Amino acid sequence: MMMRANSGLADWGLRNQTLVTGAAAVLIVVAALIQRGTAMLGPLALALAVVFVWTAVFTRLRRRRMDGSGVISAAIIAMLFAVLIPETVTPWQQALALSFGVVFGGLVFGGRGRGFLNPVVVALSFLAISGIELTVMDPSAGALNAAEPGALVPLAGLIAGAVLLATGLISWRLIAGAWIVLLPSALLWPVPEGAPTGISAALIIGLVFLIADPAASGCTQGGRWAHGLMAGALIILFNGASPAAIGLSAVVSAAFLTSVFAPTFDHLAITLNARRRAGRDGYGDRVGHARRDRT
Amino acid sequence: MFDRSAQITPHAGDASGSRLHLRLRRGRGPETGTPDPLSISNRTVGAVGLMGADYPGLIFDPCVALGEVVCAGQPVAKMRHDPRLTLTAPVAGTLTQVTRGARRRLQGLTIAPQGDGAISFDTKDARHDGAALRALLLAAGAWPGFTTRPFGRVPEPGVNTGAKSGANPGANAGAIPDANANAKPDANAGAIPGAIPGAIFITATPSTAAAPDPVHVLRPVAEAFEQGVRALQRLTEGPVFLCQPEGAPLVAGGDGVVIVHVSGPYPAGLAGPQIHALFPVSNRRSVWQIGYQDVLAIGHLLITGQVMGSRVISLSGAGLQPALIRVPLGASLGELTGELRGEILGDTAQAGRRDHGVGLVSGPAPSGRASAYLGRYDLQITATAPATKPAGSKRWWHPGHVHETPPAILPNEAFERAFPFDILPVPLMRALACGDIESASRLGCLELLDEDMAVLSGLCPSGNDYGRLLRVVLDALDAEQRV
Repeated sequence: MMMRANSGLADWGLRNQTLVTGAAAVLIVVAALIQRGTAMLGPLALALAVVFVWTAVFTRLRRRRMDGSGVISAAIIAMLFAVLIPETVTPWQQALALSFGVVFGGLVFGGRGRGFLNPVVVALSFLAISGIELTVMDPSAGALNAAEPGALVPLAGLIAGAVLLATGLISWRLIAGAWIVLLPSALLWPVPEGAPTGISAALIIGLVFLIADPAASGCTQGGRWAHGLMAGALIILFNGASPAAIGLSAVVSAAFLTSVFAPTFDHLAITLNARRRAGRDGYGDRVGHARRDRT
Repeated sequence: MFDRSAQITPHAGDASGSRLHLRLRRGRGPETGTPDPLSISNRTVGAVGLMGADYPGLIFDPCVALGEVVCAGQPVAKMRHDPRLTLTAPVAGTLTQVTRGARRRLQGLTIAPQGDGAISFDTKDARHDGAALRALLLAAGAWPGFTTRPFGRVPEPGVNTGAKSGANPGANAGAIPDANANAKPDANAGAIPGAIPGAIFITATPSTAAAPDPVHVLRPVAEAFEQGVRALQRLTEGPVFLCQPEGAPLVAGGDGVVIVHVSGPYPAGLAGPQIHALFPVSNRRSVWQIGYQDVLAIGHLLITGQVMGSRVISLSGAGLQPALIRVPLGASLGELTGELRGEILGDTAQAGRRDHGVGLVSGPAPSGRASAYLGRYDLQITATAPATKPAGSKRWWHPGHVHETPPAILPNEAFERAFPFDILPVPLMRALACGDIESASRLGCLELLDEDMAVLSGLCPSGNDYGRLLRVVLDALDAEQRV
């Protein structure tokens, strides 16, 4: 029996990873609270309550332990949902959508890391396909969708993304792949008169937490590049309008579709890797030939 | 995609291609360098244990009785399906314990060292003849020093074709030890070696920073080591790779011996990444790997005719003064660290645990195993701090019994950065975790052995032991190809 030298630290490692992600999400929530004031508190409390009730129900049904990383993962889902959801969506719609997302995006698969979709993406997609407008183009509405007045939340998103990239919790290949598509199109696309400009918080947060979620994206290096490129292309495609102001619905739809395609990209990467290894000739073969010829 | 994890460059000014530099970029931990040279002290122990578990997939039967006095080099166990493959006593002494496991196979065997009687083998023919060399290595118990890739087995001794024992009785007589009739390898005559490796890899790189420095260990015995390396050339038609740290070559290259200077972070010192970069194995070809001290033992056997039953190992870890000691193969770990001797032979989970809560591990910390005796291939003893148990207190939502479910695999890029193989780590880990033999095989698990997976096990939050999971998959694949 092989012995793990740090078997006692295995859970600590996961908790550490989850803590860093949680801290990044808290940063965004704090920025949103400062920017939007007490209007944020209602949706946040509702989201936390919904997520924890469902997590507790499933934990009890499955007779599992409610561990630290599970609690933080649940809180991250609630925080991101509360920040991204437009205020125009009524509380009962929010609760229903988040319940659907948490249960069918994560808990039925067995929790974080076992499903193939991000629960927040599932919840927001549920609203989108129900015909509820996610992208509110009116900046005065205060919703965090298109170019929002005040750059605090996008700034917090950038810092959170930098932290997650630096700690290796999200893949730089995936983020780079998305920007390779997004940047040129944003520069080339003509900006219509009077349209809001600036990096949208929905794009930053969506890219960092939803599209680059390691549990819902590619698990090979090639798959991650493809995932980023496809996400960037779909965001441009679904947004329709100027890429200067990218709406939440485009980001969510792109995140949903790329997550569905992630296993396909990984499968292609595995096929290429297997083919390369099968046809490989080690350096030692060339050295070895000399000896075999001689003998 | 192009793989840039390994870089191979010929040595400056070497046109023959017999001296290379291999740089392995990926890994996790300190560089594979030369540890601090420590003086080597000899240590004696009160018990030496041979464990059946050291040879996965092989069944041995003890061929000596409890209480019998054995000489160093005398066979104490034989492989059930091919009695030519023997385990020999590393020291002279009295058999104090023989335990049998499932289907009466040898589980463990302990010898209390006593006296210095040793069997002398006739090595005259073995010095120039390949078949005689094989017979000698089998008879003297040096053969299990080899490990095959794929599958990680002791190589098969070879196939008897038609010529049964007695048809050509004199052919390998030179290899038969004359001191003890028990040691006579039966049915050896006329054997045609069935297993010829594509190449042989000698691992003379320290596996971790705490492992003994091969250059330091081999310096006083350079002649015997060179003799051993030259002997290996007769066992393969391919090249013999000597993987060693940067610096002066341990033996002269050329004539089939390729010197490879390996550098890179852990696990660059393991044979796995080196073989993967230089001579990748598959289901179509295999290589044998052997540690430098086993090569030294072969050289010693050829020169003196006696088995070298000792190894130079390092002590390191929590609360242990780092030291280099020369001990018998299978030395009892507890004694070496100045503590009580493990009582239960073969109980690998508990035998290495001491009262103080410190675990003794045979092997390096990432891949070693808890054991009462030094493992056959291990050159390190590591003391590990007691593992902290996760808080198991009951909470209000617990409905009584709680299912322990390990966390899932979160695929971040750390796995790719730490794994020095052109093999996709996360898909492989997933395939191993759910026992998907077919996918694991397609993903390249045939190139890996248990120890190579330690770096992934250490990183993965799921707590899976991928080395153990890989062993299960490799055993199944091996059984499949034998059918």
